[in-house]
Amino acid sequence: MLNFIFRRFLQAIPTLLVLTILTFALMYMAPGSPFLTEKGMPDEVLANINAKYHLDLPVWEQYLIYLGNLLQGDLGPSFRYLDFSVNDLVWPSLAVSATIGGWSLLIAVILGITMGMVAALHHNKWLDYTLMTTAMAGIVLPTFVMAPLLVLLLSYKVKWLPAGGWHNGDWQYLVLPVFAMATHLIAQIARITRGSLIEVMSSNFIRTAQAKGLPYRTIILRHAFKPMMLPVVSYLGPLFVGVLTGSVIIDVFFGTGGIGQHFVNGAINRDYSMVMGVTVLVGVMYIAFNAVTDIIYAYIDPKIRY
Amino acid sequence: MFFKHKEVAQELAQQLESGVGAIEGRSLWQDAKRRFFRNKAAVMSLFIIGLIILFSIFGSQFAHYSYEEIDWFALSDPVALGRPSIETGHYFGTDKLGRDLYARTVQGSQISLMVGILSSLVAIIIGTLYGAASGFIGGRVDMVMMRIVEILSALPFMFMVIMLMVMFGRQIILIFVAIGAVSWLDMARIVRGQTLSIKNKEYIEAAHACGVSQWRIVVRHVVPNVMGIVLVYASLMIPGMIMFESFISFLGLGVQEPETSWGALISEGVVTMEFALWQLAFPLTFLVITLFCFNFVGDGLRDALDPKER
Repeated sequence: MLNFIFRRFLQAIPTLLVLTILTFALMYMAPGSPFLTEKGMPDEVLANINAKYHLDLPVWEQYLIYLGNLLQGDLGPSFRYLDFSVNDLVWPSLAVSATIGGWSLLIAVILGITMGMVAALHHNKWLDYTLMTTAMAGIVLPTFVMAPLLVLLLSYKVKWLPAGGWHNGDWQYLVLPVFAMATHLIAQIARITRGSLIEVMSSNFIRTAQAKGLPYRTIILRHAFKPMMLPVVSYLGPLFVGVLTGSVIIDVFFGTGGIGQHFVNGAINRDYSMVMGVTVLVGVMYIAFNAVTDIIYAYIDPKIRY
Repeated sequence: MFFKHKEVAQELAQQLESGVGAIEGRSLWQDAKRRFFRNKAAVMSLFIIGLIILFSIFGSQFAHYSYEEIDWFALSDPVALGRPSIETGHYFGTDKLGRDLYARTVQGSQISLMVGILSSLVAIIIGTLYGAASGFIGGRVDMVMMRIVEILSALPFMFMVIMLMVMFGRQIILIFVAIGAVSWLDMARIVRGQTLSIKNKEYIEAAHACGVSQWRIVVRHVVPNVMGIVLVYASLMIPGMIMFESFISFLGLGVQEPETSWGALISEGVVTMEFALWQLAFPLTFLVITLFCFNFVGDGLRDALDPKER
């Protein structure tokens, strides 16, 4: 098992390299220079600035320097907020995103699996249809639709919850963003769980368990649960992507100051080093998360050899 | 048993002999069609999608204004005069700049549907050919090709597409290419899996024996046989694409003004939803209904073409 974990993380290295090369190439090919202003500046000054940021070196050398800094955890200076490095700006907002994302993931997994199981155990009854129609609604309502609808309903109409802001993560400020992000995820998980459990319940080992006269609860929890979880776990990777993309919308809409906000602002302000920093950071998390998903999967599924 | 129904048996024998009124076999596709059209939700959804497509093509015929023309009269008091009404000709009201929302919704539908359908097409063509080739050739080539797919699908492409949009300007072509180029990966994997199971069938062997070239076997024999599963995924991919484009437009990085899309309209509507709800409601309704319908059609197609899944 340890060997498998080790190998799985080794496999992530080429992916990470491709990620940095692609993002670096994009930044390099981007038209214009971040330091060209309308007024212009004396050639000597420009040359000095270019030398400071290593823009006068050949591309591959620039890339190696960037990679070297990256390995030491340095994402470079922000081109927009001149006194700040990307690190200064990104890490505090990552904490915000992690709080929102963590809660949504937790709620989504618990609620989604429960909903899916209930629906599957009442297969083709009215409860199943109700739950699955709700789930379908959750799937077609993207986060950027869910967020305004929730605010319209709960902040403007009934005035229960604040429409935005962060306030150090007070729970009132947390409810709407978490809920807006979680709905889509709940729906997806519920659908996958339902399909999976229906299939598992019709398999032979469940029939054997029933024939043995085991109590219903035991059959579900001890025999059906683990195989049911397989497709759900393999969905964890894409689920995490949902959290990341959701975060972009949530941060822009609720002004929570998470990592998505830096990404969009950086993009609009053409703060290339910021955009790149966020892309690399998110990429690393994403790749790491995929690896973790694979490891959990291998742990649950005895058929996978490692 | 057989002799009890002697007349029936005789009749059958006669039919077989003469070839008149013979029992016709049903192909896989006919079966699938029958199953699909029995699914009422899917057929209804298909009908509604048809209506929305017609709306996006011919809707502008009924508009009293163009989508970029500003109605200065309505602009003077958008909340009172920009309301949806039949008399003023603004069926869906106006947006916050006094432009006719009906005409803009028509225009937005065109762009959103076009992005959804065209970029799915790009993804499907690349993915199918790549996957079929990889699965069919096999061996070391297959390993390398799948390793590439694996590496690419581990990248956070949503972020890279946004980066692309920022750096090279907001062009609609770029959206197609970017989205299409990103989403062929899953398709390639699915098609490769299918191809591997088709590869060893007898008719492929027969084609080999006849001296058909590798490329022709892939295009003529392998690809048509994976079409079923491709179709299912395509119908589920289109709503995903529409959503993706709307997402980018919602962030203000998608289509360029005065062109618009559902996502861009929604993002404008959100700003004014406190006092001009219709500016959010109309584009939102169109987006949600379309996504709903495509999902139902996709589910219907899956049930029809892939009986194992049920």
